[in-house]
Amino acid sequence: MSERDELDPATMQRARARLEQGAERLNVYTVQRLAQARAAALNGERTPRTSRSWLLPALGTAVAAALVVSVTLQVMHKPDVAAIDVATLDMELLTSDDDLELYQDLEFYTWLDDEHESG
Amino acid sequence: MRNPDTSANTDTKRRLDAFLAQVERRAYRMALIATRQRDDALDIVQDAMFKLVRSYAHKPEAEWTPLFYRVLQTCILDWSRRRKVRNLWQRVLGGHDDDGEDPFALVPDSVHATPDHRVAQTAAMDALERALAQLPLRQHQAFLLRVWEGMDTAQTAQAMGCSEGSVKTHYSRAVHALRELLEEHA
Repeated sequence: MSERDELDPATMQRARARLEQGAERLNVYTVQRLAQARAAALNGERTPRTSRSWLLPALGTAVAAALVVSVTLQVMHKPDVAAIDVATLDMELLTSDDDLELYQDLEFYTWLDDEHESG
Repeated sequence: MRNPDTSANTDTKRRLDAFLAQVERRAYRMALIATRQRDDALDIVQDAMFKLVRSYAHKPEAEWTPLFYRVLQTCILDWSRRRKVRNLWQRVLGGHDDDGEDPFALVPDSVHATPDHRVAQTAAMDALERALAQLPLRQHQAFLLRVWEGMDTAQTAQAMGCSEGSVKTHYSRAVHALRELLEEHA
């Protein structure tokens, strides 16, 4: 580290004095708020936040999260038409009074029916 | 007869109170220089106090100073990250990036100095704090911890949560940026 990278002791002392002035000249409101914050911290509590700047990011994040969840749910629960058709057909077969063997030989009966009509 | 645990807690609380009273003004000024918002700076100091008491009260008293500044610097970094998000949302929503509050205008004048001396002191103090506020966050953190708190490189690295090499780099750049100003107000 070169000499130019460090402050000489006198300059450092002067800078420290300037910064101390700022700390000593706090207004009454700020001093009171600091004392309240200290007392609350020692009791394991927090005084109400004075800044409202955290509200906007919190609100924005909440809105963004709600949008993401909404879109995700819509995509996940999008109805699959083919699956519904198959499910409906399965249900019809199971609840039908027809013999299941009829459906197993359905192709044969269809062919037989065609032959009968053409013959 | 007093309960020994209660007595120890009371003693710790008393020492913590004295410690926090000793550092709170500097902590506030550091947070104010970083945020340039009085309310944000107060919230940051409050968070740092709360976290120190909650998590580190049982530690030896000698460790409170580096731990407190570590917590404080982390709170300032968290604030900085939240501000970036806030600014992004404000841009999206068509607002302004900053509130434009000038915290240094809130500082009352000293009652112990002559008017000329007071003006010169205030001008020098304001100039330094404004210049610090213009530096990148990590640079002015390194500068304040080294110069104001008198921490060495290792202690500063611990407080900032980075390597000693990073501290040297940040501090060196801060010194280069501020040297002219500091020498001007000799």
